[in-house]
Amino acid sequence: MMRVAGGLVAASQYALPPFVLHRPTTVEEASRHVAAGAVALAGGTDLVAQIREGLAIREVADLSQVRGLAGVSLAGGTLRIGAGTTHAEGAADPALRAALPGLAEAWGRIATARVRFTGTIGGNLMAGRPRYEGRLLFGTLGALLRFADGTTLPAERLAGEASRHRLLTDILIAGPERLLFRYERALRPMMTLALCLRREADGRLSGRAGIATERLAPAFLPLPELRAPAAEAEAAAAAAFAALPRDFADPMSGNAWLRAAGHATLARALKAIAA
Amino acid sequence: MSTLTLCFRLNGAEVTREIPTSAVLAELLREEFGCTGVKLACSRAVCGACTVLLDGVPVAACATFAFRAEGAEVTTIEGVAEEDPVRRAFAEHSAFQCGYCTPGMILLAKALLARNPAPTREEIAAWMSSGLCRCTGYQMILEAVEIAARAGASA
Repeated sequence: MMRVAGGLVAASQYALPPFVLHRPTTVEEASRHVAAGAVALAGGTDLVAQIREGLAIREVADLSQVRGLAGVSLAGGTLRIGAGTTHAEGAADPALRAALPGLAEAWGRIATARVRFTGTIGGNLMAGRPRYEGRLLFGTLGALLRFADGTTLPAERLAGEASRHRLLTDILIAGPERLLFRYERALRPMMTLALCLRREADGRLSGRAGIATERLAPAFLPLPELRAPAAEAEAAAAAAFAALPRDFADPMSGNAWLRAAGHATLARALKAIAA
Repeated sequence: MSTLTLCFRLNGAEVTREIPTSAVLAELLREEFGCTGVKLACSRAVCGACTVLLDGVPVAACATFAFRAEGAEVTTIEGVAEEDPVRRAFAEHSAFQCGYCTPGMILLAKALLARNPAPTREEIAAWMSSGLCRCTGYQMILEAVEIAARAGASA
């Protein structure tokens, strides 16, 4: 295998080194293997590529037979999305489509037909790849990630390495009925943008935008309080992008371009969400 | 375990092999079973040349561990009959140039039509976009899928 410029890797057709395979059937058993250093294999659409790119693994915990990791439910005002839910299942789930249609719609647009039916949202998040869109979507929504060891982590703070030895079980979204969500990916891979607004009891709207690129983990930008998003869209977008770090840029998308494109996209999203 | 006994159905026939845990499905299909219609190109689940159906679901065989086929029905282009409506539509409509992407494209199309027998042009384009044609023969590929749909390829 040969590493080349820009973090790209020349594809290798050579056989992969063998590893010890565990096939747990319960969350507890799977969690023990992951805590001991095994790499969790969920949908199985990404790990081979990661190994070809240089990831060294000695043990794999295949989650395909673990019960209770998939599914969407709404209880006590909190939406729970199982980490083992595939993209196809999540996007089509009736509970999600009723509770948070903007997320269901966004979820239905990520990945390809070859990934959508087997790739899971847990794998998307835990793969640690900036270009995978789960962290942008759930980070912008203010979702909480819950792990098998009982710990939780805001999705926006997820970092691949730090969480690698914990088994993600659920994604939790509080008060989905008060959330408005929209995802813009027409400029992908140069830029993607998510917008989440929360309706407060007095009618005000608070929220934030998330912006990411093919190579950059998302940045989350707070929005000023809004009363009329359509009328205030331009000013709100300007205020949000004033907070974008100056070093948020990659070789394909410079900071000035991201500010301009991000501002325009966010303003458009605010107008659309208001409509 | 670092080796295992893998049993699955390949194009309708029961097969069994001892494999290392790290065996990749595309290599197993090509090297052990002679299914050279499973094309290797990117090896990173990007291009779609290696697409096979695993219980009817399109997957990138180049980036799928072989053990995930345990108990499943694996369909490669070798398992698609010549008279299959999708295969015929691709052949008769010249929906290929060099042909390297064609097995994956045909299997992708079969998976689409099994789920959606009458897709719109936009739905076909969105679905087939997960396969890359380096000859850029997309127009005829999309038309071939439409022809296959009209011919009742989902049956």
